Amino acid sequence: MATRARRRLVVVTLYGSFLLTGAGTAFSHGRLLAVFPALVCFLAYRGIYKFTRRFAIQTSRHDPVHPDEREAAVRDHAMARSYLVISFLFLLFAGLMGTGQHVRLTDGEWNYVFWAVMLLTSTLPQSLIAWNETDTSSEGGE
Amino acid sequence: MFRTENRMERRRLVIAMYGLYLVTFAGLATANKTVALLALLPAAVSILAFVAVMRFSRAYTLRASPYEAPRPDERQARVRDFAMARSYLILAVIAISCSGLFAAVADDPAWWHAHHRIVSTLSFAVNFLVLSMPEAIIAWNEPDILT
Repeated sequence: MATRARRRLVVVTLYGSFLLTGAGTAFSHGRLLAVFPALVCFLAYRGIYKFTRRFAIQTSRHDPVHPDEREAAVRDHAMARSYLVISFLFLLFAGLMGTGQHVRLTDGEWNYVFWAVMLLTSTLPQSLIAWNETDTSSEGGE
Repeated sequence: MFRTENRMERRRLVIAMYGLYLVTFAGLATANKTVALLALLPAAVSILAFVAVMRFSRAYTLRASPYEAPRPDERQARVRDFAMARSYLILAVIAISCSGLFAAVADDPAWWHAHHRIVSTLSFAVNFLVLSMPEAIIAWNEPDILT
């Protein structure tokens, strides 16, 4: 995860494998086709989480990992950008409800939406950081 | 009309803004038209509080274009990002709760039919929260402006 290109690949893998998981559960007669992309999604999530750990997005007050000033600024900036994305989705949903366009989804589709919201809200700031941060290895500089 | 130099005044404005909107949306969520019309009165006051809070936070240019002057300084940009980061955490909890609730009641069409009005009203309430939360946090936390 030292180079930006590799991290961007992991971010794309994270969300791409989640979409494949949804497609697997929707179109497969069993759920077996969805297991592999779900596993890949989980591994990608772990990779991004490990890289962004030092930015302390999910750290408790007693955790010895503390971000420095630059990392705290990067963290807050990523969360600010994530806020704009999530709020746009909320406004879109409110607009649909307000115009009387009932969001009619099946039970399975709402389950998928729930897990998509869980994934998005818990990974968006980390993904933005992993996407934008410069290379951290001494060999891979900008 | 509203003084925003003092932090206590600003906190009262934020409480008034959200408190009166809570009353408004509670009134709008009822099926009674008279109650719904009366609920617009506190809405008018809370809109004034909302405008005052927005004007105070304007200096942090939450929604200014890149070509508009003045730009926020480094401290204001940090304050803005911090407020939006905190707003993000609150919004994430709301998003997960709402999607979980809808997933739980998805197979019950009667529930949707019975609660459509409340869901629509709540969606607009959350909409208002989304538009005002970072500014309210800034207005709540910033120290007194000494003139």
